[in-house]
Amino acid sequence: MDPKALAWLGSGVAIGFAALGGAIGIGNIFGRAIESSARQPEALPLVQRLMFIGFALVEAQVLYALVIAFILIAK
Amino acid sequence: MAEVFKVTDLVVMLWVAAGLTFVVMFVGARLIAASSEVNGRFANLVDAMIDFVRGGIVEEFLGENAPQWFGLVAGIFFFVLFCNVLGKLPIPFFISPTGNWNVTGALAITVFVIAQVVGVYKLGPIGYFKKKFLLPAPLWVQIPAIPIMFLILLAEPFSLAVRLFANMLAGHMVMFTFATAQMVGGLWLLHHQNVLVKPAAVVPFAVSVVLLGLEFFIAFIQAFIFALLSALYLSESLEEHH
Repeated sequence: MDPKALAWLGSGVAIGFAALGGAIGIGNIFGRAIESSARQPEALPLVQRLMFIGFALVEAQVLYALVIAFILIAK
Repeated sequence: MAEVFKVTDLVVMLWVAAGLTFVVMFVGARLIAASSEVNGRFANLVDAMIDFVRGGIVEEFLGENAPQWFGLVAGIFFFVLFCNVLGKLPIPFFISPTGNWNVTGALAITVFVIAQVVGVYKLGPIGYFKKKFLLPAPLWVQIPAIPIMFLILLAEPFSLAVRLFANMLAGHMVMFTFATAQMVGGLWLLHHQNVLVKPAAVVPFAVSVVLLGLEFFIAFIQAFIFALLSALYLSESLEEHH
């Protein structure tokens, strides 16, 4: 197959899997944050802090794959 | 020499961000120092943000070393915050300086080098090596793990730089795609020949507005995360091996 076509296909697959994993991770983090703050409302400030930190770290993984997708398209 | 030190719009935005950080902090500090009882809204805003950085980031991770390193971490936080937010304002010339991997790479490498130099200075070369390269594991696990720990050490500034760069870039690219895509983009729908199609251009532009709000939120979060991880990596270099 044409390498250009394979590069476009590869970038689509890369961001597809990354979005899947990222969605699972973010859903997990926020779900656990909601559940734990519903069980113990006094823990809400701590949980909120950790929730934002966890969200940014999971989002970073998805965006690494996005960078790879852009590199594949640009080449 | 001229082609290396060209003053691009990115450089001008960096100057604007640095100047804005300095002016905001200077004016805020002067207003807070002026009266001890009642400050204005702007001074209270600056005070609240500085208190947030001090309590939430520096005291949390650095503990007893906090007063020394507060300046660096707060400077990183406010500079990255102003850089991120400047690019999100809908003014034609403004771009995010942190949307370029050279800028975020320079910031991440600066933090990394500072952390390593301080680590070697404070822990001594042997203590630094033991802290960074050796796992709390038996010897037959530690020796093969040394290259892996070295890779982890190198991954820290890389991830810091790419996280900030990719977040800023992704926001711009998504809004750009919503405006200019071929069949669903706002501008394509707006300039379509069929007049009945033209009102449908409201939808992509409305989505762009919502995304702009999300991007402001992401700008704050990413500045916070950058400063937090910088403080975390600094604290790893300052503590003794336990």
